[in-house]
Amino acid sequence: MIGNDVVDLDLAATQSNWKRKGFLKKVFTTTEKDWILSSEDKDLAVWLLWSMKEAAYKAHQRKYNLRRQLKWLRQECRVSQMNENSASGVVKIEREFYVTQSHIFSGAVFTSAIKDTKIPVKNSLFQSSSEEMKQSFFIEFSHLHHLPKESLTIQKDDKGIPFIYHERTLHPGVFSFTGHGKYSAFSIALMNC
Amino acid sequence: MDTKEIVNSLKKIVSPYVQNEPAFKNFDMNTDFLKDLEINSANLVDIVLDVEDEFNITIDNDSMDNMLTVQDAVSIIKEKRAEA
Repeated sequence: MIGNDVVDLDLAATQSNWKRKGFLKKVFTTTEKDWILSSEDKDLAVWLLWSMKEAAYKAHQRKYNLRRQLKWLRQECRVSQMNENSASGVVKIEREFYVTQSHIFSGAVFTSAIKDTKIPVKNSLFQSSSEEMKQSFFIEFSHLHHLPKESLTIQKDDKGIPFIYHERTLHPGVFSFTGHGKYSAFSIALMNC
Repeated sequence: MDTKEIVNSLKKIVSPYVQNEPAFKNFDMNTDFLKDLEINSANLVDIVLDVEDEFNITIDNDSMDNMLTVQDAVSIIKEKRAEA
């Protein structure tokens, strides 16, 4: 299962004030908070961990067919490696572990999370509208599964999780969408999972 | 404080974070913060904190898990005010 999340850092800076009283405490465990506060770039640290939690939760939600809940504090994340452009880590949700890969740009943080690391994933990040991103996704999906692009549609289920349909039949292809501010992205499993 | 007053105060709290204005016009008990108002998920943290300040309550983690609609928020506010 896959999940992804992108944070537009410029928008996050104006949209959210993580320094307000109580914010970090509602979202991050003590260990995570310590990690953030000891980081050189605290803004980046906040949104990196945030995107890891959101991406992992999306994968978890899809795996267990869960409705959306606000469970940030029940997801423990740990960054195992980090440099200027990327970070990798693990998010634990209940008894499950999700492995995350994050890409760090000057304007955005993008994370994809996956349950089974043996499954190859393609991530594409766009600095354009979500409509353009979806068009690229359809092209990619149609190549991958040898299905005509025109036969594919996306529908969200009652929990808000998107699924892809070939004509009227549910397709097992696994993917995730995300968007924030100027950025949108898709992640797609390159084999069935 | 009756349900209507709580809903009105919630509407004020939520308003700066709304991304879908037409949906905000139909703000009622069934309104979903993410699906209908398209509020950015990080701003849900702000809403939880604003609700705590406005109603002078503490929203524990179990309650926060499920604060996704106006109905959810109203129930949590009533419950926590009754405990206080």
